[in-house]
Amino acid sequence: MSDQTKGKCKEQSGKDCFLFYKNNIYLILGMGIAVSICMYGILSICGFSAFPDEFGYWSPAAAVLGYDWSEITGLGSYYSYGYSALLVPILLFFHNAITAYRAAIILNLVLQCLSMVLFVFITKELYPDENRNARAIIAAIAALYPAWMFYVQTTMAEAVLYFGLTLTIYLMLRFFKKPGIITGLFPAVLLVYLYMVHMRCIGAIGAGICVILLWMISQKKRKDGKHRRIWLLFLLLIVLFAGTFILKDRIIQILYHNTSKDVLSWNDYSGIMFRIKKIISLKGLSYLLKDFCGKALYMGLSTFGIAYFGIAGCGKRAFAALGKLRKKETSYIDFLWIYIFLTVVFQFLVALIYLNGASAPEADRLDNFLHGRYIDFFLPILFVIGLEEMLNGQKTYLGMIVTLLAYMVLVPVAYQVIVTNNVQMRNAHDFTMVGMSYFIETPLTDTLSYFKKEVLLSVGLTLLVDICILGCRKLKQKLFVTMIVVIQVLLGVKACSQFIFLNQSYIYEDVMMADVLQNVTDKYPDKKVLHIFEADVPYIQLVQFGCRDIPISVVNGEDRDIDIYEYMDAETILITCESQDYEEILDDYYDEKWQLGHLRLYYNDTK
Amino acid sequence: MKKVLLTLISFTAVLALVLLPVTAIASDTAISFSTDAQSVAGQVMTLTQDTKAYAEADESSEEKATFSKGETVYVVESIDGWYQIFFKGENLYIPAGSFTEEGIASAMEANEELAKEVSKELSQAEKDDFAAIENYELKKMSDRNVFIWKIVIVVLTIAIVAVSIVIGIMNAKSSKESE
Repeated sequence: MSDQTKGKCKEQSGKDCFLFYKNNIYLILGMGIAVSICMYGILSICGFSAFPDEFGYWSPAAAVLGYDWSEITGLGSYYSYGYSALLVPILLFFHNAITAYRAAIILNLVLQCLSMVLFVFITKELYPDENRNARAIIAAIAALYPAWMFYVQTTMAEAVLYFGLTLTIYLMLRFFKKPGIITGLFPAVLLVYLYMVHMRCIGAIGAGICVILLWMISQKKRKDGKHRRIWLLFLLLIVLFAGTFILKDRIIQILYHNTSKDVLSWNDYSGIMFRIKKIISLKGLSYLLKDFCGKALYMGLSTFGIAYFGIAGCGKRAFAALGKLRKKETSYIDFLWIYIFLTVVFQFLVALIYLNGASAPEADRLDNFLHGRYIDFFLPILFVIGLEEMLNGQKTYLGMIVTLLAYMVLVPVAYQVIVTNNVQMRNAHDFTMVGMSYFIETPLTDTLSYFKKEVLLSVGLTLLVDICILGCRKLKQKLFVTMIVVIQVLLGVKACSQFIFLNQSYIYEDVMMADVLQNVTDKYPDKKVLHIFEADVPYIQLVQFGCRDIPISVVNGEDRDIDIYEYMDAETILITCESQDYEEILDDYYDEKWQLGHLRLYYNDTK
Repeated sequence: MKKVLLTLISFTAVLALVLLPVTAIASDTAISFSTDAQSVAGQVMTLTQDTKAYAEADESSEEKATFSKGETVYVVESIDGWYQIFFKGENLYIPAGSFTEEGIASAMEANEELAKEVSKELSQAEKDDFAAIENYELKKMSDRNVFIWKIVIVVLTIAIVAVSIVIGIMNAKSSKESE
């Protein structure tokens, strides 16, 4: 090749490169913001923020690699094993606890960035007339949802669920566009995998089954017989789904043999019938209605009203698609609308059914009432649809008024539920209602004051977003919707700082305790390690995570009375919590003591 | 007369010869005694007999105080068969025999116990310091990181808004031109 040709090629590839960045500038900047927010906090993060959830996800991964963490795992309830499959390689390649945890965070970040790309592809199909840049901005806004940014910085299953649901929508799109066994296999397997990640995804499976059935009915008169092969796919979905129960029982056998049935049942979402029976009563229905108001309010306030537009948009198109189905005029995109709408509705119903009774006077958990965790993972797709509806819809003004009217109905109902509660719902687990937790204090002493501030903030932001959208429409400049990114970034950083970074110095000391235990067990390999647990937060999980190959036995004070003298032994390395009252006794008996974070470690130095 | 003098000198010489080793032994004993007594330094001890406290380690010096059996004094150190005590802002001296062997032994034991406790406390403080230092190092590193990435976040957020405004203005201009 001559020098001239080589030069031309270089110039061409340079131009192509420049064109690539120019065409995807918003995606690149959006991903850059997501990466920056993650990197902003990553060096402050040393371990779990949520107990016992996060350890519950790491534990099956450790079991796969041959580590026995069953005694510590038994302190918490059952957690699904789907996310653990992604944590296995991380645990395999990274031996340092802090590095492994941060590697998992990086994985969550990669999934968040990939989701932005998927949103662009999905929006391209749902709104083919939309400008490329507008699609990219909307995708960035959706993926930069504050709760998503928060979950990326933890090893909760949520980060995988956000990506997983987005991916199912994309794969369903691929299937409906080009139906086949291969294109059908991917969404089917993914839906079952999502169920393995968290059982609440039963809603998405139900939506998938319904829409595939509808699709197959619409394809009955096809002569190529493809739709008959799809029946096999359908059967495969059901078989895989049934297989998850067998896996679940096996995991419980291996890891949770020490857990009591009560504790185990906290997270068992498979018992759906008795929950439905609870609802079918006057009291159950009244709670259902109030619970609906709480969750609908959360959906609106956490998304500045955009989710309401999203539901209206996909509902409108899904019903239109059903109408077309009867007339046999459906296209592939109509099925996608039906799938998205059914997923949103079914997942919302899952939240209502599994958290039924959250508005009861004796229920003290504010986060079960204004619950975000079960709803948050479909809010990003509602962001996409909602923003498109607001920017391009005919009835945006009406929609904004309806949103404010909805607030005017839902806020007093929620307020009334809190006021009439026996303890004014002072027990709030903030990380399960991230979208409405910016003013939350721990402990929550004045729920009503917090609620008022939160509502004022969210309503204010709703009005700000409405003004921004109206400005975009008036000036015919959709790109100005980027202003919403500023709100997302501020709220995301606030959420992460408030719920994650604040506690990490103590968490770091608990992780240091793992290093101390490692040194002590290296010096005394024959001594056994024993932890006395008495209904506290199981910080010992951080120690087990740090010392993955040291089996730690547990004496659980929830099952029996503890007589500390029974466990004091020169051949035992004893670990207690700082909140326990054994310090004087153990100080007298043991030579050496380490007090780090929430834990104390005692042993006799006989060498 | 000469014989008497000679006898006296011989007797003195013999006496000196005999006494020297005794003194040496006594010195040894004194040394061992003073070594034992060193370990009671810094202890509050109980007097086993009535005793007087002097301004100097010499009974001919000024008598400063009188103590009865059973009273306690704070022993600073031992000096040549005397104990230096600290009393009412002054360093005084009491004879070595003011304490019994048992009293000295129990004071030594108390000293050893105290030394062990102090050693344990220091070791614990060292561990606490280790944790605090590690935490401080982590905080320093993360604060530096936070500062850098905060700037990046602000720059990128401004960039995304600025790019939208620029493209918006360019699009508005091009649509005006096309009209």
